[in-house]
Amino acid sequence: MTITAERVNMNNNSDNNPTYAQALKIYTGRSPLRSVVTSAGIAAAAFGFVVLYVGGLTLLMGEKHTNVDILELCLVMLSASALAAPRTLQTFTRSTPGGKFFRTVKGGFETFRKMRAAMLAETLLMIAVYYLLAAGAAALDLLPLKYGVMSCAAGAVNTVFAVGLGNICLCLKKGIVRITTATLTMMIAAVLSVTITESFSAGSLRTVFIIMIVTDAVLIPLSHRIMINDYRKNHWDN
Amino acid sequence: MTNAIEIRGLTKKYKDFTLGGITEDIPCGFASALIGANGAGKTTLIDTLCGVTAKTSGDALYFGSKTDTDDPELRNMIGYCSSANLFPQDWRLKTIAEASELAFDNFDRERYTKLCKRLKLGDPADKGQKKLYKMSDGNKMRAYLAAVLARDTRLLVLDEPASSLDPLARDLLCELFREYLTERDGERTVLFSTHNIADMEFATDYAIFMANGKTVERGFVEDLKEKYILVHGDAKDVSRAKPHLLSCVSNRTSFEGIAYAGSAETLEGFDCAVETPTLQQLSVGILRKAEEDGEDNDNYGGKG
Repeated sequence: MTITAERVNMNNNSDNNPTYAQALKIYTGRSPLRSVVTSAGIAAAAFGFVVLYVGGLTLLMGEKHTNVDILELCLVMLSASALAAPRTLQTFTRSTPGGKFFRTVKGGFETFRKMRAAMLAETLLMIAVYYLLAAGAAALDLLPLKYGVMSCAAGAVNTVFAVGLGNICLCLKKGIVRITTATLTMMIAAVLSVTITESFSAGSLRTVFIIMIVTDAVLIPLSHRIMINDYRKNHWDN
Repeated sequence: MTNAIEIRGLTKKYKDFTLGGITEDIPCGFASALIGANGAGKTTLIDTLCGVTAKTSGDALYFGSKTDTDDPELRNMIGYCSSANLFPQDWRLKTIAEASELAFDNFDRERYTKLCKRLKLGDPADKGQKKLYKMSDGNKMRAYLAAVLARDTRLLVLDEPASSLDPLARDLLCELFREYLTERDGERTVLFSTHNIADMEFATDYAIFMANGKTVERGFVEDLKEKYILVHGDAKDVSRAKPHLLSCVSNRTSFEGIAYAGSAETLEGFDCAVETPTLQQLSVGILRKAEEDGEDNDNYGGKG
């Protein structure tokens, strides 16, 4: 095996750090396109399950709007949280498989930061797909949600909120504490969705909704930044 | 002779372990082995040198000018391979290639394919390729080696590359080291760790012995073999020989130990047989001595 001039020259091309999509592929092995399709597919499949479940439940109960409103909403919200959790809570420490390799790749910590941002985008996309499907189904009366499309909107803002809290939970050092706290957080956020949706009917729709959207808009970048800085301090530079 | 790495007072502190003030030179153009028992600090030293773990203090100078392991050029020059789980375990050979192509500027896919075939892993493009977690430990290590050797690096740093390989694969690994070094004679360096040097002796030019987080001896293998002698004799002579031995193991009928070559004449006078030790025998003797000395052995032996 001989060294070609071309290969030697490649050494000089070392300041071209990976893009967000490339960073995601370096860490997960998934191509961005495949990642988006997979995310959307998982979201659609999860949603399909919810539709079938709620449909079956309604069939069993004999009428659409029975006492199962809370259950329906919890199911919808919990499904979305469960979809978002694995990506949000995935850790890349030295002790996890690939953890040492990732520290040697082009771009170093910057590549990690980009991968995390890409993974967040992927999660938000999955949530969007899930709730767009839910809203569509609610509008077509396939999903008998008590507040229809607004229930989906509430679910979406709360799942995004849960992702933000999940980012902060990643700063917890002990694995078992981190997973327990994050799971509880996401479940509470789902239940919160139900409460907020209930409050829509009491006339406080606009206020609550605006507060939640603003909170999400602040929390997501802030929590992402907190998580990245914490990771750098306690894992990367340690 | 130039050095690939000059380590000066490198320290890494953990709650329960300290890699203490390592000062060593890794000669350029040779294969250097870090030899030590489990827990001696080999992995910590390797990880710290490759920027995988942050150092607590001290410095390392690479190729005479570079000190920052975050330097993109230096990252490209170093090929790092950990002892286990180098890649996520749900990856296949193809995934490793795709990720490595993006992760490094000097990854050669064609070379990777050739290496995979040579290491009996098959063609990475084959659809039936298993995921890493379904492979044996030996095959996983072969995959890691193919990935790191497929890069055009100047320094290979491998943590226990041979421990999970069968004898034939170890032989091939030695061959690959030789090819890597001779491809660009004098420009490339291999640094690998091992706790069992016997199978890698053929591939080792320079050895550094570690115990309790410190280096205790170092030198070119040929120089070490001149510096030390292997001594053995009857059990009745052990008490006379012992003061001249650095370390010794005995049973009811015989004893064996190592000593400085300067003691050869004296020991021969005690009816002891004196031989040139193998690297494996040297390792056992030196590490046993280090173990006996406990933690106050950082000045043992001096530079070889």
